[in-house]
Order: sequence, then structure tokens, then C-alpha cells
Amino acid sequence: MMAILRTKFLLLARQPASFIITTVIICVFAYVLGLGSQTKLPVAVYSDLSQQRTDAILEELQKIPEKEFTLYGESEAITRVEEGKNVLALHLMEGGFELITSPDFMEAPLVRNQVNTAYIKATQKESIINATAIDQQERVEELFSQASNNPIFHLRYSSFANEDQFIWDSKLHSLFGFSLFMVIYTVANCVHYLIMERRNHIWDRLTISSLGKTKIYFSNILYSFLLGYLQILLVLFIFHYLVGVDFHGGFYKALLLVVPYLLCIVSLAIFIASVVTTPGRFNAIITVIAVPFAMLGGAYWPLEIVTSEAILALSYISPITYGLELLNGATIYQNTFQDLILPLAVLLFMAVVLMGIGINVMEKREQKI
Amino acid sequence: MIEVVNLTKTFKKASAVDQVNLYVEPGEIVGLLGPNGAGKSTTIAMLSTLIAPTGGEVLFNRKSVVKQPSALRKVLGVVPQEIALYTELTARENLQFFGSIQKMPKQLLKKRIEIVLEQIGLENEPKKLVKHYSGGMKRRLNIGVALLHEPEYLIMDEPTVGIDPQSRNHILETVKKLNEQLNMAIIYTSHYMEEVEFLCNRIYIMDQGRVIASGTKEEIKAILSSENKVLLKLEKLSNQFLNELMKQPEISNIEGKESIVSFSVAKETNFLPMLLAICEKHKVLLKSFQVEEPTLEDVFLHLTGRTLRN
Repeated sequence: MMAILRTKFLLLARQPASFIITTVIICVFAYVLGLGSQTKLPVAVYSDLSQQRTDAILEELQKIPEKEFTLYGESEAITRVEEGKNVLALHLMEGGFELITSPDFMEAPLVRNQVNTAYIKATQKESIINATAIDQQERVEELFSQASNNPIFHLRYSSFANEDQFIWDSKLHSLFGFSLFMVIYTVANCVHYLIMERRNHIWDRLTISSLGKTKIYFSNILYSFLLGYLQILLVLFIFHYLVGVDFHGGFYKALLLVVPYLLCIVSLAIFIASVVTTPGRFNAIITVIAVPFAMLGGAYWPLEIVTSEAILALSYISPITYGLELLNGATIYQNTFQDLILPLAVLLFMAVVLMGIGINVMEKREQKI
Repeated sequence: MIEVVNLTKTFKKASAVDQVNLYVEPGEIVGLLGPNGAGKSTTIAMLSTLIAPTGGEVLFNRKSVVKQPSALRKVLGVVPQEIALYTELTARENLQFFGSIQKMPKQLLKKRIEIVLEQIGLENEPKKLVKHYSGGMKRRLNIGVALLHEPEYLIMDEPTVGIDPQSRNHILETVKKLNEQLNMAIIYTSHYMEEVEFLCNRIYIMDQGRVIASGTKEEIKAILSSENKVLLKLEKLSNQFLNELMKQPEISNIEGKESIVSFSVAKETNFLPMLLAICEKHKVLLKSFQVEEPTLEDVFLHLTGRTLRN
């Protein structure tokens, strides 16, 4: 069995292109759709205030999500808006601020509100510090910093779509969606080799060897699973540790809960390999089913925004639906394993049924030369 | 000894192998001859325990291997017609892998790899990827893989298909040596008559799923012992000339291609005056003629009305 695994990994090392390309595609798509869509609105800032007060207000402003405040000189900031490089400039003044916007910028009231809040916070903080005795000011600043790092209580916002709670995290959704979608191709590529081995009679050599059929199947299934798992591990590790995506404390739980999904995909690939006779047909079927599975399973967009009953009903046949349910449950919703028992059971059921049928059909086909 | 008794394989309603009986004793080379679709590969697949027969038995030392194939598999090497190798690996890596799945001890396997590389003449190329090998080298390695565990019986399914004459000779010599030096029994299928004539002690001729003749080379040729084969070389072949020949009752198995005509004729027949008269009648210039003893190809033609490569 180890001989088969060793050889498969050696073959992968000799031809790693498709594995690397799929991994890169997952990373690029997940980044572009998840993180890239979160581009911040650039705001040009110029100030009449002292450097110290400007820095204090800018520090508060930078906490506003989806906006990026950059300090310029007055003329440069206004020129940037005139030339269309920025749609918004912010003028910090003694006792207030003003916004300079392009005519078609519709979010000015929202920005005014956000800036106002930040401005008030910074001014309040400054007033409190100024009202304190000089020798205590440093201590007060320290207390402010501690308070903002360790708030006494957290506020959590939740909304409801249909009957269930729906929390949208575009970063995690793109990451999970594309990982679960693209790993289908990686697993299929491994199973594709199995079809090739059957066609060029390497499989015959294995059959009459001392290994036994069970070990031969197990090794091939294990290899397909391991390669798929390795790919997901790589992608999730990159996004967790290098890109800094927040897994809401469920990173390792997600790594564990991707196992039943991968088992299901390996079984699905084995099932398809059992009913087709040529590698070309196998690839065609995988391509034909993987994309609809991704669409129906919510890899491209969340199922929570789908209103069509027909599409929602069809989503139950896609393993990606259950895979995403598990990963979202482990991370965004912070569900326990008991909460996730249903999608887990469905994936394992699919895996057992598809694998059982697949191997039986393969064995029967082998009796026909 | 491997015995095949009334072996039958049907796919849906079509019979691929029909009531085949044959045996292979230790140390002999047995040829399985027949055109494409004769049922050779299906017979080989059942013999090598890859597929189960619909009817009949495959016996190894008088025990059925249909349900208990392990005893035969231990002593059996199979060389498939296809190049069953990992082309992204080197010869040594391929041998290492296929030896490992035979559960050979590491030290023994290491030794056997060196011996096999030498036997197949690839001792100087073990690090080159198989995809860069010539067709002949791939074929030799394909054989080498089956030799690793020193099988007592070696099944070779058309091992010389599509290779150059030099590699072909190397393979034939290797097969001969394996048999003579290691007393390995070999079941050799081919539709190259001359290979079978060169190698085999006994021959089974198959057509349309059945064994239509069997025996030693001499016994099979004796089927046509009463006939000679005549080869004519003409300046130009004409259809009228061929048609006239076909009308002659003492002539059979007539074939004409370009300027060469061949036919069988009973040994005691004095065909020459008749032949010259036909040539004269149709204004055909006879450049030469040759009378030959029958070959296995002639026997096959005689039995089936077709040539082996049809």
C-alpha cells in the first residue's frame, strides 16, 4: 500500500503543474472576490490643526471601516478631487470639519456621520486629557488605550434572513466556496489517473500482484483524499496566517470538518469513473457537474439570498451545500459538532453510497474486456 | 501445470471464447495464434485470473484458480500487449514499484532489479524517464516488470507489436533464454507466425473464440502435408489470369497482390503445363516461380480461409 502512495506522490512531484495551478486559482479567486471586493474608499485629508491634533483625529478616522484617510497639503487634496483621483476630501478645521466631494458622490451624508463620530471621539479624548493635570496626562492616555483594547462588553449584531440567522462574511465565503469548488478538480485529477491505469493495464499488474484489491482501492482513495486535503490545508493556512483572514476561532475545527466533504468528493469521482469508459468522458462529466454543484451549493453566492424554491430544492443534491454549511458553522456561526450533525451525516451517507456503487460497478466492468 | 478445460466467456450474448481446452507444462513454450478478435486476449485474461470465465475451469496443479487465484498469481508473470508502465518514472523506479507490490524483500528486490535490467538490456539506461525510451525499450521494460519475481509461468500477449526488427530480435532471444536457462514456461500469443514458429514447442490456433488446431509445429504443418505452396512472379498481374486460376480444381488458396500470385496445389499434381497454358492464353509473362513447403500461415489460411493479419 505504501508503495502505491509513494509512487503516486513521486508522480505528482514529476508533474506538479495541475496541483499548483488549481491551488493558485483558489487563492487568487478567493482573494479577489473576498478581499479584493473590500477595497477601501480613499479620502484625501488636509488640516489647519496642529500636527498633534491632526494625528489624534486621523487615528480615530482610520478606525472607520472601508475608508482610507491619507494626509495631503490643501492644494494637492483639492486637486485630487478635481482630477477625479479621489471622490472625497476632508478638511480638518478648528472646531469642525468640511467635506469636499465630487458631484456624483452619493454617500456624503454617511461619511459625514462617520467623520463626525470620529471627530467627537478625538475631541472628547483631547478635552479630557487637557483637563487633567499635566503630570496625570500620560496616565490618562494609557487608561484610554487600555480601555479601547479591552472593552468591558462586546456588541454583536445579528440579522435574520428567512427564519435563520444569516451572517455574511465575504472573505470566508469566497475562501470556502472556491476551495470546496476547485478541490473537486484536484480530486478528479487523481481519480483520472486511476482510469488511465485501467486503460493502459497497469491496473492488471496491480490486480495480479500480492496486494489484493482492497488495498489497491484503499491506496488510490487515500491518495485522492490526501491530495485534496493537502490543497485545502495549504489554502486555508495561507489565508489564515499570511493574509490574516479571521476564522472566528474555528480554524482547526474547519480543517477537521472539511474531511467528510472530501470523502464525499472522492466517492463522487470514483462513482463517475465507474460509469464512464474513457478519461476524456470522465473529465467532461466532472466539468459539467462541478460548476452547477458550485452554483447550487452556494460557492459563488450565499444560498441565503436565493429566493427560488426550485434552486433551493436542487441545492440539496450538491455536496458543496453541506460542505459550506459545515465550514460556516465551524467559523462564522461558531456551532458545536452537535449542531452540525445533519450536514455531516448527509455527506458521510453520500460518501458511503457513491463509493459502494462506484467500486461495485468498477469491479463488474472489469469482467468485460 | 496449467490446464484450461472447456473455457467459455460470453459478453451479453456474444461468445468471445467458446469451449477452449489447452494446457501448459513447466518449461515449455506454448504459442497461441490467431487473428485480431480470435479470443486470444480474453483467454489470456482468464488464464491470468484477471477475469472470471462464464463456464469451464482454469486449473493450476489440478486446483481451480477461479475462486482461489493466489496460488497461480504467485508463480505467474504477465506481459500485457499495452505498455503497462509509468512513463514519468525511470526504469529502475518502475521496477522498484512493481517489485514492491509483489511484496519482495528489499534486498532481494534490489538484486533482482539489477539482474532484470541486464536481462532486458537496459542496464545502461536505468535513470532515463520511460517516456523518453524508444518503442522497443519500452517493450523490453514491459517484459522486465513481469520477470522481477522470477515467475514459473510467463504469459506474453503480443509482446513485439509495433517495434523495430532489432528490438524484436532482442525480445525473441530473451524469451528463448528465459525458457532455456530458467526453465520458465511461456505462453506466447502473437499473430506473427514466424515468431511462433521460432519460439514455440506446441501451438494452439484460435479463430472466432475456438481452438481450431493444436499440436507441435510439425503436427500442425502436417495438416497441409499433401500440398505445396507455389509462388509466381509475373511481369504484370491480370484479373483474367487470376479468374482462370481460380477455375482450376487442383488449385486452392489463391492470392494475388501486385505482381505476385500464390496458391496451394496437391504435391503429386503436375501443374506446370496447365500454368504455362494459362499464361500463354492471357498473355501474362511469367518471370519466375517457386515451390515451397507449407508454413503455419498456410495452415491458418487453409483452416479459416483468411490470413492471420486480416
